[in-house]
Amino acid sequence: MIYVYLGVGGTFGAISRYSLGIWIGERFGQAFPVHTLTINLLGCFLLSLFYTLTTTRFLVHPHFRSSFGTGFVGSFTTFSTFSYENVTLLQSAHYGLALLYIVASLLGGYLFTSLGIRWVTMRKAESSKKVSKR
Amino acid sequence: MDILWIGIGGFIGAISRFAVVEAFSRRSISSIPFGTLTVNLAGSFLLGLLYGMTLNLHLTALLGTGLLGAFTTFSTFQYEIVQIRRLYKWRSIVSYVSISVIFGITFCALGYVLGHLWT
Repeated sequence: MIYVYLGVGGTFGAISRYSLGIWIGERFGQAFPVHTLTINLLGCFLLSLFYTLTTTRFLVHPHFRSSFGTGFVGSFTTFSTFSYENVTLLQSAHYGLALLYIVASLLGGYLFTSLGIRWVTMRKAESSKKVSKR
Repeated sequence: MDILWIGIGGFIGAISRFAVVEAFSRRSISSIPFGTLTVNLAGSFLLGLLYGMTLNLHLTALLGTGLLGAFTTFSTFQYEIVQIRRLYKWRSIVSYVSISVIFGITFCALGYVLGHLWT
């Protein structure tokens, strides 16, 4: 049964990636893969935020956790397209752009993942401070 | 119409990724997440292969954007890096990141060339 939940999450993740990708692509063009970068960084933030929230603040059903985390966000972000876009950039001798894309994805991904975790833990610390003052 | 194909691909892709990652997590004791590494490298190779062969647009939407896009993942890759960092396993992070990126791009290029030769 878990497979159905994962699959449904994956369906929405893939469709969201495609739709958002087209929307961003129309605005920023295709010369540099801004669409994939935005989707991947947004997904990093969303995944760590969701995982941290569901371990520290709310208890959700494990099936929902897999469906949204592994299914939806996992399918929303993509690694194969990231690899392919780098091949395309290298093939057209845009070595600087390929390097920029890799560095922005890796550092940005780390930053946004940490931000998702920090967001929850900081708010938690704040709310517990308020409680102790009372 | 493409949305339908991409949705079906995403359904299969997410389930396949879960199955591979689960199979690895039962066996692995290393701090490098081999399950995610395997799906990302295999997916990069297959996407290169697919784009190398010029197939019809519906099939590319189903298998490329849908299935392989969902089979591979970037968010879990980054989440795992942050988890390994908490254990201060710097060498594992350097290996995991460099193998993923360098081999991901290499395998994708290799797949593209093979796909081109095939058709």
